[in-house]
Amino acid sequence: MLKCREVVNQASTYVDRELNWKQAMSMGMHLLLCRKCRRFIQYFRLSIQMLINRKTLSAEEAEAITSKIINNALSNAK
Amino acid sequence: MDQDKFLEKLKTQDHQAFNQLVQEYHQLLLAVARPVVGEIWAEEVVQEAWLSIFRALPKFQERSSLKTWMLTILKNEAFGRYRKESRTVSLDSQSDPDQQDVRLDEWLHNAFANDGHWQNAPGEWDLSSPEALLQEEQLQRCIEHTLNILNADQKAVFLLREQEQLDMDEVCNILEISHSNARVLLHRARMKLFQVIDHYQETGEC
Repeated sequence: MLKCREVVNQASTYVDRELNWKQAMSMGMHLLLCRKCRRFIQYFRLSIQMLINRKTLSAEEAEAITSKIINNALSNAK
Repeated sequence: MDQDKFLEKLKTQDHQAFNQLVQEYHQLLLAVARPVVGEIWAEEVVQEAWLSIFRALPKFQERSSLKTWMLTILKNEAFGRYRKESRTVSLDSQSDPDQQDVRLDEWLHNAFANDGHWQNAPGEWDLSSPEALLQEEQLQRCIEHTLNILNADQKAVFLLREQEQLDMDEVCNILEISHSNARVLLHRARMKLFQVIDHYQETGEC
């Protein structure tokens, strides 16, 4: 029987669906029986989702870089 | 703007389109450059890469995706720089386990009893409204904070994989690391993020 510690260690491989069938079976069995690990996996997935939704560079920061690059490109071309 | 139109504009070196590209990818390029050239050189290497990208855009053939093409240019800049500087400058050492890795290991150590089952399982998160949770400013800051505490290798793998949704093979190619190495880095990064959010849920702080 898989231990909770191993569930945590294999969490990434599990959520990426890269466990082999045997590992996936024992993971599935464990999750069926263990509420704490189910919750862990749910939160683990949610954490990843939160990162994906984060915002990127501000418009001003981007404009500063863009202007510099374009000015460089134009002045070197002359 | 649809993707084809956007690409056409980029190829004419349109200022606004290029600006959009910078806004979207600057942080990613930085994250990929850091493990190769270190914090000190990353910004400069990325600026050089942007210049190369800007110049090469009219010749972009669309044989690969724009993202992969940009990352290849960056990679050439970064590894070129690495070869030039590696003899004279000591690069940031990424091999030392940092403070946060120690914290994660402690967390893992305390989480389980000797028999390998939960001893201190994570508490319940307030998920009454998952959408609202995603919008919380403080939580956004915590996520930024996590990215700052990841070491450079973890961060590069993490962003390429999660934010850019590249597959593992592409991630390994770009960073020139093995599959198993990438897996470990990704899992550590995700665990750190989980740990930060769990801590936030418990205390309201990062």
